[in-house]
Amino acid sequence: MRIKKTDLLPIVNDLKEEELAGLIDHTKLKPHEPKTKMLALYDEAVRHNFASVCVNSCWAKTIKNYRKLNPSNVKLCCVVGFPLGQMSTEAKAFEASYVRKHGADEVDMVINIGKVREISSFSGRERGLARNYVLKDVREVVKASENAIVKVILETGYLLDEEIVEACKICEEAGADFVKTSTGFGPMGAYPHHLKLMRGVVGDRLGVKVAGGIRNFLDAIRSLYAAANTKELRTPSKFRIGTSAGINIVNTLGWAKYTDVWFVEEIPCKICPSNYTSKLPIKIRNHYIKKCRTCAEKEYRKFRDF
Amino acid sequence: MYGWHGKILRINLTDEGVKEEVLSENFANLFLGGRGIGVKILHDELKPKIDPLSPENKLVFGSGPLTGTGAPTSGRCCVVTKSPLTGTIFDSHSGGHFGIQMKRTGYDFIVIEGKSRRSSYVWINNNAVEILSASNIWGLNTHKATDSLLLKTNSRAKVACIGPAGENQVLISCIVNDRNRAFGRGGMGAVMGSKNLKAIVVYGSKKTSVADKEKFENARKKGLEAIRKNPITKDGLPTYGTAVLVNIINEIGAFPTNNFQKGHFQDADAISGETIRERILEKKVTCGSCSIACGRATKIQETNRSGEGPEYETVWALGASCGVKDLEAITEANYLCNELGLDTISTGSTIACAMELCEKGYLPRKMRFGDGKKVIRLVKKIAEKEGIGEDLSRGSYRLAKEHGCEELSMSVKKLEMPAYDPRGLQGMGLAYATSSRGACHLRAYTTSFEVLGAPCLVDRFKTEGKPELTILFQNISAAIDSMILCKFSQLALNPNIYADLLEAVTGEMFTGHRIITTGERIYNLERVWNVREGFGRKDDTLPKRLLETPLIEGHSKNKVVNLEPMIDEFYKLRGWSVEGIPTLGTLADLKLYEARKFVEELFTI
Repeated sequence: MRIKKTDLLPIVNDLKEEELAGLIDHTKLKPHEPKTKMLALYDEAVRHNFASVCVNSCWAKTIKNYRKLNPSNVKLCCVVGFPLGQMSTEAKAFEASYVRKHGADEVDMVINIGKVREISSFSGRERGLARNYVLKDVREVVKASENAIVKVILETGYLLDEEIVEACKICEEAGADFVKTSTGFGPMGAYPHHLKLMRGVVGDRLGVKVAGGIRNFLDAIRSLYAAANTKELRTPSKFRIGTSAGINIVNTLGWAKYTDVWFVEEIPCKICPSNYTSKLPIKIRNHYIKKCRTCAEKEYRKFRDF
Repeated sequence: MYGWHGKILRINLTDEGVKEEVLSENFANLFLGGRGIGVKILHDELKPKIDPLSPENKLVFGSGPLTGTGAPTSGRCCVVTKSPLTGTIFDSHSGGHFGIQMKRTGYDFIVIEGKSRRSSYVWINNNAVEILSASNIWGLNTHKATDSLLLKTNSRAKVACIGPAGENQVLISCIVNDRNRAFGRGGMGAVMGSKNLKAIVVYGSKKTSVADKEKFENARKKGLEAIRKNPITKDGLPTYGTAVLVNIINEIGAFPTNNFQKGHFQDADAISGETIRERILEKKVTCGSCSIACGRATKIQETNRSGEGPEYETVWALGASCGVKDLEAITEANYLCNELGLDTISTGSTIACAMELCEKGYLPRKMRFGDGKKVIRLVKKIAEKEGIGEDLSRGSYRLAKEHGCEELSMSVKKLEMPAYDPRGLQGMGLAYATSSRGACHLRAYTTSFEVLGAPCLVDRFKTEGKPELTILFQNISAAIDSMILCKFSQLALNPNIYADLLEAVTGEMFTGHRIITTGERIYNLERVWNVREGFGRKDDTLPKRLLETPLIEGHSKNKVVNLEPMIDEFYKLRGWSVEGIPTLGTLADLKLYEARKFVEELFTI
């Protein structure tokens, strides 16, 4: 995918620091983080007016109680079935209902990736069964979340393009509010190519959340271009950025206003998932390698040190 | 005036006269503080083409509006003078605690003039100023002199002094404060030595006033948070010190080795931040008002010697640049530089230049790359101007020129280059060439966007866009040096956060754009000053090696600096003529009316 300087400039010129902050889910999901860090995460989110804090389900109660003492507009988002998505539907639904009960306004669930892959691998009845499983998996979580916003993590690094498309359709059918690229623990971060694909399927009916490897304003602006290219889509109900580097992203945007030189047109391979396949399962890796060989921009591959 | 005490202390060493002056509000509005106001004072007061080591030269110790407020990384101080090494206007900065203590005396700036008839030191205790005899500390190294002065004055006072190198007017000597921090570059020590001034001791109890305390507290918290959240200022620098850069820069093939003959040092790991932490680190050291703590207190086990350092530039200059991989030898040489009062970058680079001169047969001495013990011996000789040390004490450019091969000096405007090979960082090449004080990485720290990805990563080999980015970073750096904050803050903060801090402290309206314009004003004033001294386009260049000889190995292999096209665009974007002189329009836009008059006369001639 090719992104020109002229594609990004209107977004930057239009975007204020506080608007960008309002699209960020301030995230801390590492297993070693103590309570103090979780409370600090909430404080930071309040100070910077982030959309939400995104934490593991065990912290829901803690943040809820802390929020009672320090009220704000910052939402509480909890992940469910995280990070593998391989829990039973009942377990996911229970976790969703648990976090909802303990104050979560938003639920980020991980789709059953293996089952999504079965849909494209099988045909006939088995395909239907796999599809129904995924549909039910998401639907049960949506139901258990009781009107909370539900974002479904697809873990795009494990899926082929057609599987991403199918997963997005299932999410919409199941009543989810967002489709989300990655957990941040998977084999690949989020790339504009995947975002554009997802937005293409869900249109403006669902939101799109980018997560995984968004570290500075340039990553954020590219994601906005790919998945929220109109002002209407640049709202917290239609687009989110899940990142632990939210403060850095907002701070670095401060530099973007002083020169447009940052936005040089990148060699397309630099922002293409085909270039980051080392951790992918072999089948998906081969898919990307094949795609790369037939890519319209393949002449750039001669620059081996990009 | 919030953020200031509103006073300049002027000390004339010739007649031992001391007077207080009012700090002009106009100066503070137009030039922020520190470097900016220091340059303005010297621009207005110094006659053109004076000898930097004559009594006519002045030393300006400056603080900034944020000094003493507790703003993140605001514990620094600056000295501005005409450099005896480069002949340019020169500001040198130092961390530690001297800056905060100096401002607590109630004086925002201290201007030192003339030349004392006897060796002396200045003791400023709040408003009381005394010029005292330094006869019994003259000749002592910086540590002993500091200890002695603290005994004589106040144990809680802070000392900035020179060592034997400064006393001997070594052109690469520095002023050392808090025992191990240095106003390192440009021969500041020699200027102080030429005035027979051994030290300045400060102690005070006055607080800096803040216009809006609540707003300031919010801005301060925001700044601290940004520093805590940035991966470099949060992890890299506190854990491994500035030497964390050794492996990073070496890996990209831009770690100058053997006097810039190579860009990759095979033994880099032996002198890296990781190895320093493992082998010699005692504890982390932090400057006043700083949460980063990149300083290293170290100890050499074999000799039981302890001190501070080495930092990245030092470990490179006394290490890789001289081909030395012996960390203990580098550390010992670093301790000596601190004690004798030498700039580690220029000292190491000059020794490296001498080694190459020997290797190529221009200098008939036994010096070879990789000899750590020789480096230690040479450091002592340079400070004492003893034997070959006399030649080396004048810096690499004069050394190489005297021995018939000036191109072996890796310097710009006679100032030795720091630890980034511009063949691997095109932006840094432009920054070195166009820097107002000679080869300096801190006039525009392009490494931040060319390597570290702060605020975001830009292709380091491309020249496209680099003039614009270099100008932006030169301007913001001039402003940071004037506030005065540490350059590392720039990795995490942005101009808007600086504006919030300044606005809260001074009560004046500040925006990011105003800060950058102020930086531009300072940079242009420095340029006019340098033009007045005879500098121009011919001096905005790099050593021939970097322009013509490609690197032979590493990840910057086959690259040279493509400088000329960048310079052309740089001048155009700066609003300078093709000869590198700021145009009348540019100076008028920046409200530099007096500088404009000079340029007007120049054009008339």
